Amino acid sequence: MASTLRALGRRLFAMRAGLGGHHVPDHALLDLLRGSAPGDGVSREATEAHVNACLSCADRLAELTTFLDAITEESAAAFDDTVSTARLAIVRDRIMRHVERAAGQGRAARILRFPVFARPALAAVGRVHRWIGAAAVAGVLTGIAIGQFVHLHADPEPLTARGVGPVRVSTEAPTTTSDEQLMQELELALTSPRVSALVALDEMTPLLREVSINVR
Amino acid sequence: MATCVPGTPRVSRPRVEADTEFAAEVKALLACGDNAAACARFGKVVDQHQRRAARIAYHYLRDPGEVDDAVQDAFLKAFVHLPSFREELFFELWFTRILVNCCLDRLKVRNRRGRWLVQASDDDRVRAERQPAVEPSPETALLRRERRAGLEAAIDRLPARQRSVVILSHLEGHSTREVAGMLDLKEATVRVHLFRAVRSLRRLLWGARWLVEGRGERVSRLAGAGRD
Repeated sequence: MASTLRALGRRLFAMRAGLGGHHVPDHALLDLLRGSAPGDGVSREATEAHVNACLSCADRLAELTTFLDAITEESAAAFDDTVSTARLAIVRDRIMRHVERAAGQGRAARILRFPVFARPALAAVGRVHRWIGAAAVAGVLTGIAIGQFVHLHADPEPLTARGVGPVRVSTEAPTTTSDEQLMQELELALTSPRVSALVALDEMTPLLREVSINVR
Repeated sequence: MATCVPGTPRVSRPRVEADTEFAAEVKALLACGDNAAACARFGKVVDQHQRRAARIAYHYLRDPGEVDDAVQDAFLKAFVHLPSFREELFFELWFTRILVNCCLDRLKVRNRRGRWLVQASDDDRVRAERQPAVEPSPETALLRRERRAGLEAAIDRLPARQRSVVILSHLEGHSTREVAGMLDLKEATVRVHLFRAVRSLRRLLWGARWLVEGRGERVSRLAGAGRD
């Protein structure tokens, strides 16, 4: 059914174009404009003859031509304004570099330092850093040298002057006890901790007795 | 080692265009392993097609940076796949098909990205990317910007296939047969798409001032011609 209608339409159009008494449809005008043979079984010559004879169709063709020309001109101008010849030349060089690389003819791969800015940045401030380091070392050495010659112990007198009692210095000679004995004394002292907060910690800590027994 | 003479005439070969000759020579040189000569020869192909390729990519992408990348990708793909190029095809058609696919891929990526990222406004884009060498008057610049924005928006609103057809056949001036080869369509299909695209463009741009002015000039020209 559809094909029959289409065929009928084609025949009607062919009759119109051939007779020249009716108008050419837009798609036929477009075909005519593009120089391609119009479809629908109508010859190009018949369409041209009709357009030449019909003022209305000629006007429509001219309007279509103007419209399409305007679009083409505008698009071309937009491209020319946006993409310059210099830009194209740069892109061309880039393309050729990639092509050479793809062909295996390019130069060896360039190794980029990472971070790229590290080396120049160090070079720029290296001298300053070097002077700061040298000054610091000189300061330390000078301090050590001065410390060898100058007695810098604090005098106890100012403390007494401020009302603090004199420091009692034990004059007794240190008792000579063995290390094991000292440790046992310490343990005994710790078995009855006075600070309640340390009781839990004390319970977690293994006693020296236990450790020494295990070692033995 | 066998010597390679790419320029030797081949017997019983159909007549092909100059760029197809170049491409065939590059292919032969690559087959011989003479990569340096192949690169040099391919440079001529690039010279012949770069501007046209950039123009096509611009109609699709509208972004100079993306245009550069798309053209570069297309040339690189063409070079890499040149060994599979059949000489009975025209290089221009083969290359344009690669280019159009590159552009469509980029558009897809852009659309996908556009769902997640907020793009800069048109004004920002225009300011950042379109700085002509000679600045026209503000009024002219405004009118031109308005004109181009309208036209680009109208072309971008076309369905993908209609847009491809109108770009290649009308803006680039290829014949229906060539466009059919480039897009792998039948000629009748190309004609239908072109007609629909032109009809849509006329509808979308109906009443645009620059077209109306152009129409007025045309009418006056016709009237003058009629009097003559």
